[in-house]
Amino acid sequence: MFNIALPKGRLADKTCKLLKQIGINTDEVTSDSRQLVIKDEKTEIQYFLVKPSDVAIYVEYGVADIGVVGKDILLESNPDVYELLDLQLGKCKVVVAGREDFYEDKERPLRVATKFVNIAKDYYASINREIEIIKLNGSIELAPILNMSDVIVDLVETGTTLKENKLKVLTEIIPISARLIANKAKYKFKEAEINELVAKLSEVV
Amino acid sequence: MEMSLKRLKKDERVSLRLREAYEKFGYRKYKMSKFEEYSLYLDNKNFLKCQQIITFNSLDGRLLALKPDITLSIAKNTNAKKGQVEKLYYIENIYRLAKHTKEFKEIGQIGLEAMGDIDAYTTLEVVYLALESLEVIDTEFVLDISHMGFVTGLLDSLKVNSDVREKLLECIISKNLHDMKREAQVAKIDEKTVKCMEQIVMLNGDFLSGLKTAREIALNEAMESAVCELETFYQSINNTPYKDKLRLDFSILNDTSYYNGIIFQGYVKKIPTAVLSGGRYDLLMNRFNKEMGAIGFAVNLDELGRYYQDEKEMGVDILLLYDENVCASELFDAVRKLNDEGYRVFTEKTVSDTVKFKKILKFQNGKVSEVENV
Repeated sequence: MFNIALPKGRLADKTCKLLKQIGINTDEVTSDSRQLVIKDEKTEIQYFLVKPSDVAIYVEYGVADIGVVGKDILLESNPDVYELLDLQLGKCKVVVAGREDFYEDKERPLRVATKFVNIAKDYYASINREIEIIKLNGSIELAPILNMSDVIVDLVETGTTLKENKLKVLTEIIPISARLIANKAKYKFKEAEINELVAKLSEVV
Repeated sequence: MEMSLKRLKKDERVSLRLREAYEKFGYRKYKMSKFEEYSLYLDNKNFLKCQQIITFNSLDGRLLALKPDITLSIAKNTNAKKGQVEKLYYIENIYRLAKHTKEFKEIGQIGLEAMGDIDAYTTLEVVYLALESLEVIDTEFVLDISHMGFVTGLLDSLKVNSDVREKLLECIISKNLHDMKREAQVAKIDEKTVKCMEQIVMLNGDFLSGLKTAREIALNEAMESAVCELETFYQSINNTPYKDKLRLDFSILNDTSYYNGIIFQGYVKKIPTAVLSGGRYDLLMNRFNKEMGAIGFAVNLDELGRYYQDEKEMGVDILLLYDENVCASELFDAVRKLNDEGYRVFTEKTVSDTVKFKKILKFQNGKVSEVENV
C-alpha cells in the first residue's frame, strides 16, 4: 500500500514506536537487520532504511510515497514535497555558536563553518551580514577552536558537546524536529490513505 | 509509408497524438528559433522558475540565450487582436538547470497557448485539451485546479509584510499546517483567518465539496469572485467525460505577478512530478503592453521515456545472418520482403551482442531459412 522511507538510526526507532501506537506493525524494522528493504506482508507497507539526508531524495523521486525527515534537511535541500505533519521527534535547534570568549569584528566578513550551507546563507542574508562559508561534513566544533572559523552554524540538542569544547550558543536560528513528508504526485493517487495515516499520527504526537 | 505508432517511443507517440488533438480544435503549429534575446528573460526573471540561463554573444555583439521557456517568446510575438483569439501549439526543446544534477538539461516540451479574447469557452477548451493530453499519457491521471485570486485575495487581506506573506505562501504550497499555525501566531493573525487558511490547506481534492468549502470561507470580494469563476468553469466541464479527474487544490500556485485566474497542474500515476502545468496569464500579456487575456499549458515530454520504459519494445524482430559471398541485391530484397511482412530486421555476419532480437534467421543461397544451432 505504502512505501515509506525512514532515516537509519535513532529517528527510525522513534518513528516505528509512533507507528506502533497507531496499530501499524513495525517489529521487523526495529530489529537490527541489515536489510535495506523491509516488507510487512500483512499491511503491504514497504520500509526503506536510508541515510537521513537522503530520505527527501527518495520521496522526491517518488520511489517512497512518504518519509520521515528532519526539518534541517528540508530547509537545506528544499525538496518539492508536501510537509504534512510535525512528528515532534528528534527535537533540537540550529544555532550559531562560537568560542566562550567570542567577540564579533563587524568590520570584516564573518567566517562560518557549517554543514548547513543554505540555512547559514539564508540566515545571514536575512540580517544583511557578509559571510565566508567553510563547508564541513562533521566535527564542526573543531573549526572555531582551531580558529579556522569565527563561528559555526550547527544542530544542538542538549549543548553538552558545545560546553565540553568551551563553545557557547550565540543565536538560535530555528527549532528543528522530524516531519512527515509526501511525494506530491503519489499524494494525488493515495490521498485517502495518506490523510488517514496523518490523522491517526496527529492524535499520538 | 505508414508507420505503426506502437514502434515509437512513448514521448514520440504522445507528441504525435497531442498534435492531432490540438489541431482538431484549430490550433496551429508555431515554430521558432532556439535563441532569444537575453534581455527578455532578464526583464521577466520571476516568470521562469529557474534563473540560470545559457547565454552567448551573437556575431553583432548582442547577448542571446538558449530558450529556457517558450511561453514568454510567444506572448511577446503574438499578433492576436482584440476581439479575436490566436491559438497556437509548439513542440520545442528548452534548456534549464536540472535540480538534482546541477547541470543544464535539454527538455522536450509540447505546449499550447490561446491569446486574445479569452472567454468561458476558450478556458473550457484549453482545460479540456489539458485533460485529453494527460489521458494520452496514462489513463490514470488527475488535474489539480486552483485559482490565483483565491489565495492572493486571502493573503492581500492580511496586510502582513512580504516576509511573512512569503512564509505563509510556502506553508500553503507544501500543505504544512504546523508551521503555518506558528507563523500566524507570531504575526498575530486573527483566528478566523487562520482557520480559513487551514481549510484551504486541508481541502481533500474533491471538486464539488471543495467548491462548497471555498464558498463558505471566502472572506472578501476577490475570493468570492474567484469562487464564482470556478463554479462557472465546473458547470461547463461537468458534461465532459473527465469531470471525475478534476481536483480542487489551492496549494498549487504560480508567480502572482504573471498569472491570474484559473491555474492547473496535471499528474499521471507513474511520474513523481507534475507532467503538465499551465493557467491564465493575462498579467504577462499586459507586461508586453498587450491588453488581452491568455491561457495555455505545457507538457513535459522528458520524463515520459524513462517512466514508461517497460512499454517500449527494445531491439528488432529478426537478426538475419549472411556470409561474405552473398549477393548484396538479393539480400536487400530479402530484407525488404521481411519489412513488408511487418518485421524489423537487422543484418549481420555473426550473432551480434549489441542488438536485441526475438528471432534469428540466416540468408544463404538466395533463401531465408531457420538457423538450427546458434
